[in-house]
Amino acid sequence: MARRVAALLAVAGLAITVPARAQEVGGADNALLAGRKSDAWEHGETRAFVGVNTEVGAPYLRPRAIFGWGKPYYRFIGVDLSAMANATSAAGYGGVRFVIPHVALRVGGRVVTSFQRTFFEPKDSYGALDLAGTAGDKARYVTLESELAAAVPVGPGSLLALFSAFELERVQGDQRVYEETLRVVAARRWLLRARLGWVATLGREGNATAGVVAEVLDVPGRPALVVRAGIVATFAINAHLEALLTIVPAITGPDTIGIAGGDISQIGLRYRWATGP
Amino acid sequence: MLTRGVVVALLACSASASAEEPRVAAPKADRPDKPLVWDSRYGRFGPGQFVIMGTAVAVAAATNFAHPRETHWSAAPPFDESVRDTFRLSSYGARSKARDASDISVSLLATFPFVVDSLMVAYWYRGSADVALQMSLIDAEAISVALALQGTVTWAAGRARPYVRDCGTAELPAQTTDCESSGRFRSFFSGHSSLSFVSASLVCSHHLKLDLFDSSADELTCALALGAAGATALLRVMGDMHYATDVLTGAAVGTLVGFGIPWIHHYRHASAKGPVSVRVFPTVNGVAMVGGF
Repeated sequence: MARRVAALLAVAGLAITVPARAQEVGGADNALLAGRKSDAWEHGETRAFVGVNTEVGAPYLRPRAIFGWGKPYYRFIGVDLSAMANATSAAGYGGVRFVIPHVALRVGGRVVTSFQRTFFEPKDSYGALDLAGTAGDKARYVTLESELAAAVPVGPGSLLALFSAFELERVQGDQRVYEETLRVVAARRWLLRARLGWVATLGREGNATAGVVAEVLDVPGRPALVVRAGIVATFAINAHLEALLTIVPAITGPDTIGIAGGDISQIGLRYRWATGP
Repeated sequence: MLTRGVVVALLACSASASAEEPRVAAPKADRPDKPLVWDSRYGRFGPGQFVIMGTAVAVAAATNFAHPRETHWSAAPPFDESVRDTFRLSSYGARSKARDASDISVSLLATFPFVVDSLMVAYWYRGSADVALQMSLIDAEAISVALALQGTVTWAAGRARPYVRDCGTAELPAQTTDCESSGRFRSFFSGHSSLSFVSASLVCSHHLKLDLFDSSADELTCALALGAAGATALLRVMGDMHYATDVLTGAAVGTLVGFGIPWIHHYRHASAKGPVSVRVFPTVNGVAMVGGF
């Protein structure tokens, strides 16, 4: 296990190619937070804290607790515990997170249980009917994940970069499984994602961002390459609450699984809170 | 249901949090100087409405978890068959895309009254946590009632979805969630249609009565929401998930609840813009409903 975590860290470390300059803009806890002019967490004190970062939308719920030290969501190191539930699956995640202005790195493990989807037999391409199949065991698997997110101010907005390396466990032999986080039909062992984009900071108050992103997912075990592109937007309603919009459908790839093959969160809300001043 | 509860809770939390959170002193250059005020004649969301909402949530949860009754209702009248023949897409893949599109549109419509109208427009843009809270509670009540009605009727009716006749064929194998889940007997009436239309009607109710944008954008937002709801209903027929009578009934129930609950509990008490009128009349392809404030 330690060797795997070390390997994941190494992959993430290699991906740190984006310059991490300290700026007046808020921390890059998540690449989607880029470009906001006023982030209250930046002005708080460095301390031990407990944070809550919960996303809710229709229909999903993603509660997350953070036990950290530093300035919450701006510059900190901490332990992440989160869960995810939607109509087709549930998952639990635990890991560590390092955040400095404009860059965030997380490493952890996730247990995923699907309510509907099963493991699949290997083939070149999968369609919506394959995902609806019930022959076979319900999918239950583990992912070891590392992810680096960066948001670097460029012009009237920010350049976004996201690099993910997942190792898939508890998948037998050459079985395939629909991976619920990266939303792709996957095979052991590796899943790699690289996302680039640019978001503009909007409005005189600078509380909104909107932009375009494109990403490539590589599943070497199949093999399969998926390209997605779409729009992302955020709108800070107050210091704690923001609206999110993510519509990044698959553009090319071997599968025709529709909405299940894209990163599509529609309209959601994120609530962030932390103890201390 | 959980989503709406959390949204309401978040709204309440964020309103109080912002009051004690002086660190963000954002300029209000993009927003109107005059905050929105909840007209006292409308009355506030009361205990009776909490009871209605709680009961509706319980009924909706119970009827959606329960297996639909075995009524063996699978026959469709000529009208339904005719519409199905006209609009049903030819391949499973195409029908799946139509279902996906309907899922996205109903999701956007269901969250719009809470996230956009209440939080972004009433709370942030118009500066009124009070109006945002009243709107959110009314929205939650109306949507809960619509879901309870839809859950109860689909449970009692047990109508088979149109595609069920294809289960076990080469096009749709029997071992699929489509053909095995109890949801295949929840055709009448359409939850996507009723949820879309109740949400769109709530958008219209609030925009037209409260003038959230204080411009013609209010009417435009209402028209777009109703158009998106209509498109959602059509996509359910194209995706072979419902018959025409399923979506028309869902649209009618959603519209009545979405306009009716805000009006009965609140907006009828102040009729500065004239009373609400709802007219239902037959058309070539069915019935049409027109409402006005």
